Amino acid sequence: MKRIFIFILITGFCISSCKKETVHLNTNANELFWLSNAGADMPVWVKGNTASHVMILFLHGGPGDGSYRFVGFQTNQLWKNYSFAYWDQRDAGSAAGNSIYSNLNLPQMIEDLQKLVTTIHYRYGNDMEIFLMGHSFGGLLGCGYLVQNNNQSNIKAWIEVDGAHDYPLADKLERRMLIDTGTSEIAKGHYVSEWTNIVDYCRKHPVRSSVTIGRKTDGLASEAEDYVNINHSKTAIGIFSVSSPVTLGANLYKLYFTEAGNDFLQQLMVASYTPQLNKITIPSLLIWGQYDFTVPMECGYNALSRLSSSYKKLVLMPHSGHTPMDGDPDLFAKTVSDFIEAVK
Amino acid sequence: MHFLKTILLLFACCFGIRQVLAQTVDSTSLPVYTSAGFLYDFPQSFGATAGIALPLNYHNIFINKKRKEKQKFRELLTKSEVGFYRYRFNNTSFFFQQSIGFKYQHQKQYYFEWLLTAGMLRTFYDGTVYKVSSDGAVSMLKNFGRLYALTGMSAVFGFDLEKSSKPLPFTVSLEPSLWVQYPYNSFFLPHISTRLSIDYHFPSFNIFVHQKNIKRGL
Repeated sequence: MKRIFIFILITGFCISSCKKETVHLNTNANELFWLSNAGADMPVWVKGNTASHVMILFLHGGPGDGSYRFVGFQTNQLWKNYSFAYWDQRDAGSAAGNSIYSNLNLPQMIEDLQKLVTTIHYRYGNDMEIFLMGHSFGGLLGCGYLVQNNNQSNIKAWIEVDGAHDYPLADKLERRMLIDTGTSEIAKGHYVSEWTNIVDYCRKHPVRSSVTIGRKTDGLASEAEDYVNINHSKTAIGIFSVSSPVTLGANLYKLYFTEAGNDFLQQLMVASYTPQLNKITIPSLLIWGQYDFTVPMECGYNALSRLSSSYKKLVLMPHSGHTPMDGDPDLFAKTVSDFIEAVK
Repeated sequence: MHFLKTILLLFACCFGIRQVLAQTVDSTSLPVYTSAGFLYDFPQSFGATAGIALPLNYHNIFINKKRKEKQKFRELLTKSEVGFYRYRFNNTSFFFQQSIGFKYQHQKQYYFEWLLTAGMLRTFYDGTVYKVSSDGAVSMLKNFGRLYALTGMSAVFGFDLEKSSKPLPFTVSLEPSLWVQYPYNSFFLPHISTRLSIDYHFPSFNIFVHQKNIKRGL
């Protein structure tokens, strides 16, 4: 009797190990899966209507920030008709594992994305249409992926949201916009001491000669949004309700305070896909915050003029800075929805 | 010689060196506590622990300070614990840890412990984990997670119901702790946890340990 019981137990275990997981598409999905690649274990949180066969794969910015902060009120208007896959990239957000320092680089992250796209099609079926949405640094990662090999054949369309597909250009325009807007605001008497501080810093540091200067300038660009009255929702509540600030902090520490992290950020300072944007032929939507100081809207126009897509469009968000899904949530959702309906 | 005496006196005054007047050693029977606890790990993980605390030796200290006699107890103890916690939309972690430290108690019911901890932690990720080979073949990894070393320190603030007017074989304690798991993405992951525990003393579950009776005075 005991032997029969053990036999049944082992057989059951073997069968369950070999069986492919059945994933049911539904209109209100809320599920998590992971991709383990090159030492990194990266979570992917899927929310919304997977039965629509449309999945927006979200590439977060930072790098290092994680995507969970966009789960919920910032993108949830789109869950009814489409699904979202919120992916935390390696060494970012809630990603875990034991990736070695040398694996923190853009080519490795592009490989992660290639494998994630393969995994999504394996898990949800090849008829799942993937819309790649890259925000900020995610814009660079997305472009890097799309211009390689025949990766575009796996993606239905490209949505770039204030994307940093050209870091040197974004840096130059960031400084120029901060100085121009600052000078104009000072003349109007708005936030004079704050703007003076920003303008002085940008004039003293005309180029992003180090990671520290870049980080400081990005901080000022973010701060500047407050001085032109861009509304920000209380994202901290969203962050802490779904992801751990401790995990995020450990990943950000690695990025900003270790040699490997600094090497990666140094690589990014010169990263540009502008010369290769003409390789992108899939339908493309560019969404830009009109008051984005970090990656100014001229970067969007730069992409628009170079993409080879037969369907391409740039939409400016009038009340937004670097995060249009936060500044203009309704317009953002409508713009994305209209685009998906037009090209799917 | 005078100089040496002066130095020693100064040292005693500065660092409060206590004079040991008498010291005897014998053995005493001490309770072995089994514990069950509720664990909270900042910011959103909840779990439970179970363990056993063994006393290793016991110091019964009588202090004669300005003609007032006080008694306090210091116990060297070790704890073995297992536990788990859930980190929603991430993983479930199981751990084993061994701690060593001191327990301090006066004649009152309150006690304090500080402990150094080392152990192992194993995570099991929520949801399916996929791996894609270089040729694009996808496989699912069953029960996938990572094994980590953990180490940390904690303080325990407890209330001993065995010393209350109506003795019960329980203690209740609150244990904030700071610990790290390693290696986490070639780095470490800090944790801030708090545990609420109830320790139970089975009536016949005692062990004999060395007891030092120390008399101190100033």
